[in-house]
Amino acid sequence: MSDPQYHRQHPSESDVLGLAADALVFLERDVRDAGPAEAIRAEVARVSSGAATLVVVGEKKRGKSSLINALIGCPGLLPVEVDVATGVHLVVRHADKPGARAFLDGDAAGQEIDLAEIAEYAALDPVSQVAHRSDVHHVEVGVPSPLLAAGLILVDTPGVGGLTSGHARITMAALNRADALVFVVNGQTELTASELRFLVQATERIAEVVFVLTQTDKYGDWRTVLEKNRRLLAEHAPRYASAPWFAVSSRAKEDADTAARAGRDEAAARLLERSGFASLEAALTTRIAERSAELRLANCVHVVLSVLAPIATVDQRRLRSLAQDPTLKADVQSRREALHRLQGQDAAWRKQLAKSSRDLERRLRLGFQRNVNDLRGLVDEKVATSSAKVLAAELPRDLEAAVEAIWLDLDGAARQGMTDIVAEVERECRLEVGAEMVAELTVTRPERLTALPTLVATAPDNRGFLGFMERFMPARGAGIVTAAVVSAFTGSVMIPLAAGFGMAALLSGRRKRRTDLMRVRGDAQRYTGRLIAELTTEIPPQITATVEEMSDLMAKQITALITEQRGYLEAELAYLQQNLDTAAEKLAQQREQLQLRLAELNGIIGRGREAASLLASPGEVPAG
Amino acid sequence: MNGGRRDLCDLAVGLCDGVLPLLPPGPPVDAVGAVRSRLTESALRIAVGGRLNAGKSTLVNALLGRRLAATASTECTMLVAWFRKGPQNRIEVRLADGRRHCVSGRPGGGVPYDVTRLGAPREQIEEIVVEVTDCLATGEYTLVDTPGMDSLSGLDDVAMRVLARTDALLYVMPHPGAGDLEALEALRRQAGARVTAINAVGVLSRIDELGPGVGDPWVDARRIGATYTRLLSGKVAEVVPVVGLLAQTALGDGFTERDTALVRRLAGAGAGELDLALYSPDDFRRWESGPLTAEERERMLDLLGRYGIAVAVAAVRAGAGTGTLLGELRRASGVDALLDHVQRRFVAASDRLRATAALGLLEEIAAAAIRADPSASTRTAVDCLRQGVAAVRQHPMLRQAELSAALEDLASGRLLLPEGQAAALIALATGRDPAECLGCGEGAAPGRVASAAAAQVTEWRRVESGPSRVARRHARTARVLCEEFYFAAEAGPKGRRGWKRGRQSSPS
Repeated sequence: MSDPQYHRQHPSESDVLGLAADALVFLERDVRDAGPAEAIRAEVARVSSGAATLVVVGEKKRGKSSLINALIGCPGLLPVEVDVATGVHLVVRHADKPGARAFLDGDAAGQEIDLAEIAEYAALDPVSQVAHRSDVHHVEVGVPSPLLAAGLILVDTPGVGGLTSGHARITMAALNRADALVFVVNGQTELTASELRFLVQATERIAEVVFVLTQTDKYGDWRTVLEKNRRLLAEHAPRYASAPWFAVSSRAKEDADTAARAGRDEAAARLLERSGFASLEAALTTRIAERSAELRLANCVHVVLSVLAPIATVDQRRLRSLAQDPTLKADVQSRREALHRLQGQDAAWRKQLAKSSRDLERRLRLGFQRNVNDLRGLVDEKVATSSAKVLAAELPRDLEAAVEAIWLDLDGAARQGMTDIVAEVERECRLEVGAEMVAELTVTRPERLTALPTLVATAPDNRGFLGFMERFMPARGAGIVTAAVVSAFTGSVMIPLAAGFGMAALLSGRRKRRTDLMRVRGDAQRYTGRLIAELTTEIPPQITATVEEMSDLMAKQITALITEQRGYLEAELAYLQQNLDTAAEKLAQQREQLQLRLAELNGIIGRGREAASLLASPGEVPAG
Repeated sequence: MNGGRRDLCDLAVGLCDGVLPLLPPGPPVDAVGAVRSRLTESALRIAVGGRLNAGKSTLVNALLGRRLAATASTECTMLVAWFRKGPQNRIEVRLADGRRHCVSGRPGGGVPYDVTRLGAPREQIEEIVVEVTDCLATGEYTLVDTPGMDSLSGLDDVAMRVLARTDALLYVMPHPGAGDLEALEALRRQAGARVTAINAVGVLSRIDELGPGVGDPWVDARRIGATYTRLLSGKVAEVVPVVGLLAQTALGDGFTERDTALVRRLAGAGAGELDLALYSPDDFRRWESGPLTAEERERMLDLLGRYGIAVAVAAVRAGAGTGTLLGELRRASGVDALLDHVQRRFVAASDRLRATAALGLLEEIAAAAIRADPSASTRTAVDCLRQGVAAVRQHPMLRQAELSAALEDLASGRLLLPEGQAAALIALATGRDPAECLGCGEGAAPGRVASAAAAQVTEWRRVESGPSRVARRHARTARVLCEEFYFAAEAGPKGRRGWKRGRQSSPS
């Protein structure tokens, strides 16, 4: 939404757009992968005028919402709580009259809501830590504020690192519309490793970051923490070494505003000075609000550079190989050998996989057998203690419930077992060739696994057990459920399991037999006998088959990944070998071509760096 | 089960002794020997873990009753430190290459703030052992302070390794979150699934910093503690809120009559003025017009923090002397609930926790030995070891450990039982000998124990055929436990000895 009031052509705009166009030409000509070109195009599309969007991010409980409330002078506007509060992202812009709109999932127009209702739409219930409403996508708030009127839109995000899943995803999605970032930490502790990782991830396409350390009124040693943060950034993330830091107290600013409104000017001035907000607001206005166009251009340059730099590195390597650099060959060969070991038939990971699968199968069968034995014991007791009429009515239902429980048990144990196996195999691979190689082979696993849905939640009224099963299982049957659950755990090896333990046939058979029993009028033992016989015939082979299938699939998947990697390396080695064999003049020709290409690339990169330094804030050294 | 506190550990030691001569020389023998010597120690090892700056060292000082661990506002503890009672005040520095030497600590005891005083660069130090002649731990447990996790100094591995070598865990967190969940999960994996709600308690620390940091935090703290007890159930037994700083001061020996005098002077200041000064630590430090000097103000903040100062001033205004004042601070810190948990869940179950840890380690040693050397002699030795471990695991007190999971489910509402059965389950899970487990009272005759056990077996069997899967699972464990009590009581003294020989004599 471009507001004509803000539209002005920035002097560097044509340079940067030209830069982006050159980069796109290069990529389309020489690089097959469409991803980087897409990223640049997306960034170029954003270079239209409008108010600058400033997204406030950080770990949970660092004071982001309080910060925004204090910046716009509206205490309590965004939900704040002692425990985690913000559940969706909130967009705050300047408006002549205060108002809010809630945008529900799938609703593009949004609906008007009262300012007091913001918490109901955006916040989590403090006790249960569950959102009050699960269908809200985001909330937009309009308030009159001089800071926002200068050309700023503030976006509050749910903190990362909380126990509610999905918050990190919401935050990263909100970052797509950011022109600049405010990264919030507080005085309680210096930067943690996970915070730094989040920072790097969040600023992938953003050039401008402002660091704010909040809650200086609560933590007396905040100056030490600030110093330590600066040192840590300089050491671990030098890109941000010269980014500006502001230490503020949102509480002091709020109290200052209250005092000013009550007419106690001296107290207000004192508190305002204590809050440190003056310099923060000034910085936000000059660095961001007034530079919205520059920020977008800077982000564009940033993306171009980050896309082209790795390509230049690869080209450099190729050049080295064309120059017959011997160390390169040794390098590639050793990596190839490591992968060869992994690929081998007697690789340790294969043995581990085979052994673990056998163990799992044994455990599952044993567990299943125990469950069946228990089932028989239960039935015997029931038969011994109930009358025939009661038996005819209750036994089939109890048996069904028991069978379903056995199946759920089996499924849960299988799932857990697979998880463990994946972990063990991964560990084995890591031992073999070192962690970096494995990092290339696998996708990070932990978050996925912790987000596993719990398969069974006991309903408060136990009578509803069967009803619960009907609810959870669609009419199609149990096989689908297994697939849905197991595919939620995609993990490091994508196993598209179609059917774990297909119980559909068994269950439908059960229901038919219930009517049989009514007719036969209670030949309970025979009925049970038949049931148990069927269970023990049908399920154990299913167990074996499924475990085998899962283990095969995993082995195939890992081998495929290894082979793919090895393929790349073989290709590189072949290229190297080719260069060694080729006559010197042909080599010289190729070298020249590559050098030209590299020169073009470096030219674009150089222009990009110049543009970045022009667009950088006064007094700041740009990164990259 | 003679009601002795070392039954399980003795059994495990017996097992080690039986297996040691059979194993070939090498790492397995050393490992089993290490397990055996750890079993003969009488103290439970409690590790204090958590992320960076969670308040671990402060809590350690509170539990020890002395400010031995170093604390600061940024990352401070970067070494693993074991604290125990010993014959003299000294620090043993153990290097990674196996060498050891001793240094003296801070004057009065404690870890020096300057790591170079330890006589070796930090990277070479594996761990330090701090011995003090007097502290609160009284030899029932040894505390281990660990480096904070998730720090950019990358000491997570160090912390994890130690946490896997201990018997119980206090996990400290000011704002429970995904990082803590991941750390607990990683710990569980590292320690071979031995770190669970059975031997881990969560501590919600620094609660005086909740909200704006002034005023009474306890209502909010209790609510947050309950919320995270529920969200982290199964991983930690309970999340207990604590003000570490006040606990450190109240239980320690640093607060003297002179400090009470300082508090009295503060109490003499005008109420409005004191409130203004307590607005923030900076304000308090700059309160030149107040009754204290700069140094004294710094000392008050260091000992009490703003919440503590408010509590102390209120107590003094109500006429408290030093003793009462410290009692008030202790009450405001909430540390007694934590001490109670430590006593009930850890110290009282010390035998079981240590034995469980040892058995887990022995199983790992067995697996590693077979992987390393699949020869026939190793195989026989490993089989013998595994059988021994399985036999010890049949002991009813270890079954009792499985019931702790039932307690968690009961507490979190996943398990619903009528009043009487719930009480019976709790008694089974927390009793220290069969009579107590079955609710018979101390020193009941075997006949009574047997009949009580039989009655409970029937009860639990009935629950086992009920519809709730959760109830069935726990009822089965309870029933098996009662059956074993029954057989043990029936068999009489001969039967009891039979346990030590691994259940050959009991009918089943």
